[in-house]
Amino acid sequence: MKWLLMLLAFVLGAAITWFLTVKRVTRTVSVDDGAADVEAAEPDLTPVVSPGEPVAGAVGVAGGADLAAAAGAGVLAAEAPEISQTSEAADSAVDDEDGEEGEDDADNASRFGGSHTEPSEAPGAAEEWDRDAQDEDALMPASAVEASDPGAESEEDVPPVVDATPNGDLAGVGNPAEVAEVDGHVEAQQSAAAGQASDSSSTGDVAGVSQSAARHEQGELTFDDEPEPPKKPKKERGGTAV
Amino acid sequence: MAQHAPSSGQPVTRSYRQGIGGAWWTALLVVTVLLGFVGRSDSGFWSVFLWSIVGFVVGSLVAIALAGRLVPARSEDEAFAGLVRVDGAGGAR
Repeated sequence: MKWLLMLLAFVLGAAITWFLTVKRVTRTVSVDDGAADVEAAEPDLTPVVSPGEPVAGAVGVAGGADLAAAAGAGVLAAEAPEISQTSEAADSAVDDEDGEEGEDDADNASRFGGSHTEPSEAPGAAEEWDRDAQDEDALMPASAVEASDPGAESEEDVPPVVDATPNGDLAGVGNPAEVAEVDGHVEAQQSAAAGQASDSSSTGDVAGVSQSAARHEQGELTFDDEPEPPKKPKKERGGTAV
Repeated sequence: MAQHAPSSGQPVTRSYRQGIGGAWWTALLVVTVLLGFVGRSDSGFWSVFLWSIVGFVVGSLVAIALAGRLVPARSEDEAFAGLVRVDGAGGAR
């Protein structure tokens, strides 16, 4: 009888404690409240970028200008579907029972560099290099090999310059019209220098030398390409100064 | 504790835990005294009274342990805070 009463006390204690501690409450939940709670619980960390508009928070942040430029060029809009496609490919790869191609897509999407695109499929010089190759041309990319082809059309676009310019430009590098213009300019400078050398004063001073000396006396820093004129006595320089 | 699936404009019932308060002490005294008087003719009042206290306290500890496992929310706001998250994972999003 005593243990039966103790068991009854156990049951009453458990039941009373449960009803005292656990409370049930009823609320009416609307869609608007749910949407507000979703915004509060999971804030959207993705920045909203519109083409042609300033990026919020981009000032003073490294890469903000790039982000704005990418938004203006439409790169972000082009990348968004690609990302969703890769995620869908990863999901489908998990569900795929065959697994081979799906797993490859998932690996491509998750590894460094992301999934392969058409430009990324073109192998570079290092990827094309054959370890056993003895020819150094194997290190050259395909585009360089095509450019070095004598039958390529790219060489016909830039006609070679027959003679080297007086400044030492190599033939075939410059545009013939520009080279001719530079040659004419250089000849004009040389003729002007010869005229200045002949236009000397009666005392034997060379025109332009005293002006350069005056600039040196004023303490200005000049970076003339002209060679330093020979120093003359002070009395002559003071006589020619205006 | 079963979580009710919420929908727009429908009442949702949730449970949460709170302290036992002074009511538990009153219930302890009343129950043990009553059981002591019931078993007075068999084993005496004090024997049944004391063993009833042990049984009541052990039963309360079991109830508190079960409440802690089955009802994670400790306040009314906390009980409804997970409402939208559970719903969002199900189909709202």
